[in-house]
Amino acid sequence: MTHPEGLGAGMAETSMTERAEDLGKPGRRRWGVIVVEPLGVVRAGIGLLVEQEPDLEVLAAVGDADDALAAITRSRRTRVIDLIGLDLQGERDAAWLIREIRHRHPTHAILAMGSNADPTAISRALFVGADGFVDKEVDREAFIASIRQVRERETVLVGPPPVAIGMIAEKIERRRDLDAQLTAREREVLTVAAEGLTAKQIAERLGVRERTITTHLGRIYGKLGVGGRIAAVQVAARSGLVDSRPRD
Amino acid sequence: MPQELSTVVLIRTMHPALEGVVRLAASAAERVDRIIAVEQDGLSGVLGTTPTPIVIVDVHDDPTLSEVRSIRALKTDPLVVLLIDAGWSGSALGAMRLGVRAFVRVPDALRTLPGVIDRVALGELAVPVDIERSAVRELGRSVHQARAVSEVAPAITPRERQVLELLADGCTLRQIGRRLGISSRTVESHVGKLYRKLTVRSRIQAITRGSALGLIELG
Repeated sequence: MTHPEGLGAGMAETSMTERAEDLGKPGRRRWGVIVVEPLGVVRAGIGLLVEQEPDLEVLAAVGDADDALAAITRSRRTRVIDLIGLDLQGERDAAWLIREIRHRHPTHAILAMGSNADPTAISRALFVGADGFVDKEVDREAFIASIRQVRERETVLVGPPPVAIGMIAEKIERRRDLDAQLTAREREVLTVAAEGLTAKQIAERLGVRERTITTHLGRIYGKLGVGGRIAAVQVAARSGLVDSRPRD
Repeated sequence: MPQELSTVVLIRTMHPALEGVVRLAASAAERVDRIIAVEQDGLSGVLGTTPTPIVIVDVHDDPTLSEVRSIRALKTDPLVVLLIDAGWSGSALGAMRLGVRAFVRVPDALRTLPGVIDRVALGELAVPVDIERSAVRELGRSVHQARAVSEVAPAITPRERQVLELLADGCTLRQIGRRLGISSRTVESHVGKLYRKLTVRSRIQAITRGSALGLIELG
């Protein structure tokens, strides 16, 4: 996939950062919004949309997780809504970023955005810390309304058909049950195993002996009631522990 | 499916007056071919022989959804429409997870049911906005619970879990020690660690939190 990286990215960021400084003064009751979206044009569009609202202001519009965290740190604000595009890929993908923000900035409201996102992606975003999800294909009123709703830290789900709610709930429950069964280390081993690494490679990655990994894997199979690696990874993917989308 | 007309199946557990209203409303729907009423135990026979049935279930005084569950257990997956009342206290999310396609409020049934039946017949869902909201709120609660489980549960050792279960059974520390073959000093240390991990200060809090996290089941 090729994104027109330059388009909108640099432009939007400079102008909006300047304004962020200018609006950082106390006494302002507006909520800051940080837009994290890999597609430049979409990012710029969302920025413009939000800027038109008197009670919201765009602090930054960025295209990846590192820039997002930098912008959040720079803003030094607590009343912030982070809009995070689920299309963010790579090692520091949307789920990573959401988890990171939830940990470091608990006062932030986090709204995940996607287009036609499947229930697994939505449930994953909610599980790692998003307060809600909005589909980028809804109309502007509904989009802005979802931002205001998530600001109250209400759970928001705007765009997906009602049938998705039940499916998302089921994924969340699966994930909960999986996490309740596995130790933190087993979860880590399973996550790495899902990348298709051999036991030896997993051992190297986690800095332990190969035997330790095979023992962990055996225990994981037992707990999940599966016969082997592929089935275990399938369970992990269905529950959203690992991302089942093909990486590019 | 759209070109085929549906059969509406009423279950004979509702009040006769309500059944009359539902019949009247169902007959006003365009995509309905016939309306039949059956007893609960005759349902499986009807569902087995009827193509694309829409089953209307009155749950306005049944928040447990037991009837929906039993329909679901028949494995024929009919399209289910629930009749609820204004203050229905059942779980909207639970109903949607059981495959319920639509919710209709009893006072509005005559007006809204025909349209709802037609939408359901076309494969759509008809969920009122407030019901959808309440389902999303429930979803939010289950997300919070799942996050808490995922943070806390992996840290709790199997031994600590056993201790928690025995605490919930009302055992004293000494009794727990005897059951597990360890000293009450050791039990005390397990309890201390358990409280810290659950971030609680008392036995009752530990039991409440443990059950909320699904670590123990309260009989």
